[in-house]
Amino acid sequence: MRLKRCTQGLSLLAILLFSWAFVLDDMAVLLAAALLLCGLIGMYIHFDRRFREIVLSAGVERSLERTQVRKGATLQVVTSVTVRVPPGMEITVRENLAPQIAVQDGITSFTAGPGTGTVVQKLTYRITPVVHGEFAFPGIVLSAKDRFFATDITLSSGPFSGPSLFVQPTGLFEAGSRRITAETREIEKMGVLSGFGIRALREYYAGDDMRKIDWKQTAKHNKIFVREYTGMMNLPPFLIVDLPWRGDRVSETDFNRMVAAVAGLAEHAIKNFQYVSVLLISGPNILSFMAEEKDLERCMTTLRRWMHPVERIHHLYRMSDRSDLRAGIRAIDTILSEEPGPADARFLALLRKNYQAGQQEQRMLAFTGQFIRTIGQITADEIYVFSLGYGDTSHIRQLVRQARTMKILVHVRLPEQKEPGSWETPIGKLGADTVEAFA
Amino acid sequence: MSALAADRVILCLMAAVVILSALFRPGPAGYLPILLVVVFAITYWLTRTWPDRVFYLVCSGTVLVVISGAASVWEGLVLAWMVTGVIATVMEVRVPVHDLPALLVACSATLAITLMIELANHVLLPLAVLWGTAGSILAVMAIRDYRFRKQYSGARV
Repeated sequence: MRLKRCTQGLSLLAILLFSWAFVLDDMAVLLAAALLLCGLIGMYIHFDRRFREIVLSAGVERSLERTQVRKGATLQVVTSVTVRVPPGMEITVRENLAPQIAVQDGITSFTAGPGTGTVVQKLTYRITPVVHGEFAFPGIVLSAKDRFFATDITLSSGPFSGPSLFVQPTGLFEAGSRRITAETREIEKMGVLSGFGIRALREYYAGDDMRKIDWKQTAKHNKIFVREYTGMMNLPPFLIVDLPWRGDRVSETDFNRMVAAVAGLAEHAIKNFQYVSVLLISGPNILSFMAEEKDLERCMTTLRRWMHPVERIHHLYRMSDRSDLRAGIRAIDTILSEEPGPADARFLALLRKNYQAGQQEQRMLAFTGQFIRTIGQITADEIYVFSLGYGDTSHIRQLVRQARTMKILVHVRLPEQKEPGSWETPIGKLGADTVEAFA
Repeated sequence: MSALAADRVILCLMAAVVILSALFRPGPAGYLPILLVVVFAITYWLTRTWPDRVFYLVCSGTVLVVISGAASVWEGLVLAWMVTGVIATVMEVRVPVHDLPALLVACSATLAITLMIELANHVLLPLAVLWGTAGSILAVMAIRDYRFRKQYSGARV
């Protein structure tokens, strides 16, 4: 039981009056204090009665999409809550979720009142068990408040808890759900193409393929269980957005077009592939990384938060890495083998010496290392790089080179070229598979 | 009778009670409650849109009850009932028929408290009785609450 602000003030007033009455031996003050105390206790009893009415009227029905799943699989839960809200009371009901599960999306709580009568509310959400074993849904948490008091209770008795969910452990020798097979990956859904992983076990229905029967589970539970295999799907594109530096004179039209193109592609990926990964960079600075984001709204919120010119901590200027220098040395060697004039030969020898010195000093960029680690977390076969192409683009060349090393296709999207050669970096130097304008 | 009319009627009754009291007891002790009823009415009008209106009404009502109670505890009790009536109309509390016994119990309790204060010569004894009774009620409520929560948390009572 918690006292609300008004009740705290009234209680303090009562205490002050009692103290005053005691010190001054004043009967009139005692009368006021006693009546106030009487009122407070009366309100408490009244609140308690109505709170009990609410709890007694509450009913919960919970249904699961499946009762047996593999660890890491996602399933839908529908909970129907019926409760009567008396006048002057406001209630909040929320699912008391077990720590073994993670909520993916959906609604797990609602608020009703005051005086809305009998409320029937359906809570639909998706969960992913992260620990194997058998566990029951613990129930609901009901919070009630009026003008003076607030309280909550965890309803975990029989009518409010359950059903049980049996979570199978992932097989010890199973590679997991991120297994790649020829530019596809397994998904925790039924598909036309069947994968190798098992996404769920269910009871046998007449007509099921006998080859799918899981004999171990059948023997264990004395019921026939069949396996449901994962589906296969193509991989969504991985988006990299290169945000301009705040000091660049950014064309607002181009920037808005880039934002629209990124948002459109992200939405397309989530709708068609269930998730999208977005890396936000600005020059050689990694700003934010959304790995396999499934929630479109959250994805758009992140994009809205970041989509503006940003301050860069590090800048690159015509950054050559070791492979560039090696290529330069090879080109000089080729020219020197053709016996150029003495002045040219002297110049090329000096240049070669400088290149060699640079090659010995050159280390891998921190940005390149970060990018390799980032891309190592996800599975992608295509990368879309969105940039306005202002200033130096050495960082894009670094990205492209690393992605190509991993056999990932890279598509660079730049603003429309106003006139030939208006991009500061020649397209060919980026090394991407395709370079297109996004508008 | 609408809620708005009800609280105005109660305010008029409060004014009538203090004016009658002033007629029987002319002097500062009789006139001060009239002024405090005016203060209560102003508080009622000023706090129309304030979030914790009840608190301000109780504060101004308490001063009125203390000053009236100094002259006569029964007058203080009657004014306290009227202040409660105004607050109940502000909170839009409707007492259903099945709750009338509870209302009667509350009225009886306040009558008993006032009688005890009227009969006592000093504060100490009624104060001890009040605190004892309040403590007992709260202890019983706490035990009931504990048992109720235990039952609904799935444990055996």
